[in-house]
Amino acid sequence: MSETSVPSTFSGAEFQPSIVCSSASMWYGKVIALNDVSFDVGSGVVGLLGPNGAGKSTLMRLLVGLLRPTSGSVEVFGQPAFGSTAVRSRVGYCPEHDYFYEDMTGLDFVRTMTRLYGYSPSESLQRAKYVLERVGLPTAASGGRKRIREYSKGMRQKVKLAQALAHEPDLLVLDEPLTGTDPMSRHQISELCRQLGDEGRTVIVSSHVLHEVERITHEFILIDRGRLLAKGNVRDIRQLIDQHPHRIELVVTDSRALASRLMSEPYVSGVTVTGSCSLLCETVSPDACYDALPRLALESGVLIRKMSSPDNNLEAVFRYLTR
Amino acid sequence: MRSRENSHRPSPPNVLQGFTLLGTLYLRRSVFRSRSVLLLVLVATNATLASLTTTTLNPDAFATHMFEVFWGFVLPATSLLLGVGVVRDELEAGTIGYLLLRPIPRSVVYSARVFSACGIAIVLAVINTMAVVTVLPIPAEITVGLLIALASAGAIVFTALFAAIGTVFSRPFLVGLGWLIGCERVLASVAFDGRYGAISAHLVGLAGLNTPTDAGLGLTVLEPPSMFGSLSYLAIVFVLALGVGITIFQRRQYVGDAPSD
Repeated sequence: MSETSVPSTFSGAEFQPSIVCSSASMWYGKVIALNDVSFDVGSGVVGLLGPNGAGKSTLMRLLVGLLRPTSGSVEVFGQPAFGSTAVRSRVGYCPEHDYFYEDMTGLDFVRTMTRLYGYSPSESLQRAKYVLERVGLPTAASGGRKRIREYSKGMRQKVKLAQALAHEPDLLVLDEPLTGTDPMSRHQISELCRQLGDEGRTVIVSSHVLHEVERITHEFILIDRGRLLAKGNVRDIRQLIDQHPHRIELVVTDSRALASRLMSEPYVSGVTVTGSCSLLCETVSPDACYDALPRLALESGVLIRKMSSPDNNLEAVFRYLTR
Repeated sequence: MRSRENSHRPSPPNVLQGFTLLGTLYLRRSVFRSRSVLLLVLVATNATLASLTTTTLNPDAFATHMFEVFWGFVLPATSLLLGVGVVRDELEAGTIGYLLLRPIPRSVVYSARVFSACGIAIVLAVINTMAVVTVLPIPAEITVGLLIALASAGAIVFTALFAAIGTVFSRPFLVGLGWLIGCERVLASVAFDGRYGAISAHLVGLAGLNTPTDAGLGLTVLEPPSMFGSLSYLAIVFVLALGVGITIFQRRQYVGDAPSD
């Protein structure tokens, strides 16, 4: 494991990092886009989250070797990402912006891009057709004459995805792949990302829309203003912010009885009775509270009908971390 | 580092394959563009001015046209239009990232595009030369083959030069235009040895023609450099331009539609 500035939850006995980012910083002139970022990532899907301007795209460009870090290092499969043709053979990148050779058809574009990996003309064509089918563009795969300039936003997004996938990369970096796509396309792309992760590839998916990425993966890297805020799964990240109270909404048979019992517990920082059968508990130690709740309910003779937490989603985590 | 390797992955394209693939892509992308119209306008201008020159009584009509119109303006202007687009076209289209992410060294990406642009420039140089020799009577001691060879050499050197300018400067067209006017038109016309900083002056010298301005102004005609000297100068400009272009292209970090540094 590389030295990390935030607790990592991706570690394990079998862990082999595809990406090792060590104290990487990136400056554009006098503006710092990424500030001393360190992390490592193995196989599977990882969501890269942050608000607009957080440094997500810069980080992704560092990962695929389009940029060289101003300081620190970014290694992919054990080699520096910038300037290594061996790394580029194993990396696929779907950029955020819609730039194409507009007068080409989708099939022609993907085939041309695939040829540049060293595939023969026939294999490039075969791969382009297969991958266009896989991303949900069967008309383009069958040689439709429509040019990319005539494609909808969703179709363009899929062509970008296809060119990144055609050479079966071991690391796939997708910059806002769901932007501008319809619900059906979102579902297709999300499903595809999950499949690629299951195949053992490393997939980095960026978004500033948290619930979108939450549907694809539960592993995240959170960045804001060029700094790495946290990495791990939602629950683990949530544990990093113990200084913020965690709220648990309860629907019970007797809210006052359970409230008075909860107040005596050291990890409960506050209880608000919101109705005769509902209460809101605030705790600084969610795990301890969740573990104790059945016992406390039993002791106070209360039946818990429903339990949920408004803080157990990425939106809340992100709100806390960027506060 | 990671055990999972794709066994079906082919070797990255070698230099020759890279040149072929990227050259073909460049040619496909370059033929039908608005710039092509300007290139054809330059051919038409050259042919028109050559035919107008035939109506004058200037005994050095051929030398005048070659120096002032073809080698001194049409040839570098053609290369300017082609050369500055070698990197700039992809940058402006935002598609440069697709090329830089393929497993082909940046030096090959750049060189392939420069040589493809040179190819187009040579074709246009040949067409322009044929247009001139069809209209204007050429001196007996000069062969069409020599003119084609000189025009081609000039096209290659100018294109490499303007490609390098396109890689180094953020406003390459203006810088290139500055070179064209300042060096190829003004400097080349001045009767002192500094004129041989201009590529067109060497082309005139290699063809064995006198620079018309010297005779027109009643000045002593300057002796051009030797053939070896002129060829060496053209070779040095070409190699330097290509080297600078490759070096900058390899080091610069391109993000979407603009270099980041």
